[in-house]
Amino acid sequence: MWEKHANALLAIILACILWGALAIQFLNHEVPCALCFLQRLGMIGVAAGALMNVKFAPRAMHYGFSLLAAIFGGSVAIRQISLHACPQFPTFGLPFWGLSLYTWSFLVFVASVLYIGLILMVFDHSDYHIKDSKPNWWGQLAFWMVSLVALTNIFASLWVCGLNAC
Amino acid sequence: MMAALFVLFSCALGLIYFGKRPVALIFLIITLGLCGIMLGYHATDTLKIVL
Repeated sequence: MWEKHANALLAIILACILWGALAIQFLNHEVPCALCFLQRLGMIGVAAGALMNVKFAPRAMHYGFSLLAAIFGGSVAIRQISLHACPQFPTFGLPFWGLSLYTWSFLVFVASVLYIGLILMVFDHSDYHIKDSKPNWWGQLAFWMVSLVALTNIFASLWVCGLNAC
Repeated sequence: MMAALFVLFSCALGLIYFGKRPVALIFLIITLGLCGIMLGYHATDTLKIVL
């Protein structure tokens, strides 16, 4: 049960970070770039793996998907960091607590990998059997927060990129 | 195209919510693969700017 709570917590934290990114986009009028959207997709992917653990049962495949999504998102973030490390390319967007948003994003993906590693070390999920169970209020909150932020990002990406590759 | 990736992830989340585990997993894996292709496209695109 605690393992499911830990996964719901991961999904809620990622959803809060994504809501924060949307708030910065709309309140500061900062238009996100294609790499920023790809990092958001990576975070939704990590949260999706965690939500599968919440809804069904903790499984290596669900954790594996979260880890793959975290590696993907981290790769995008490191790509953007390396791009703006060049002297002729200034940093993209306003810094937040002294760091660019893509640097924070990289740290979030690293923290996600560490958190999942910790969960795998602490909990023994071999006792669970895959079954479709209704999540408790904590799991429901995680589902709604991640789903709503994913839906909002559809409109945000349509607004910025239209139907193009961005 | 970018919006389509968010649509695919939203569909996968809906499938997870309604208990369709195998279909959701296929959706998630396909979407992450498409995200990888998109990263390849943008990485080579920005590489041209740098070089």
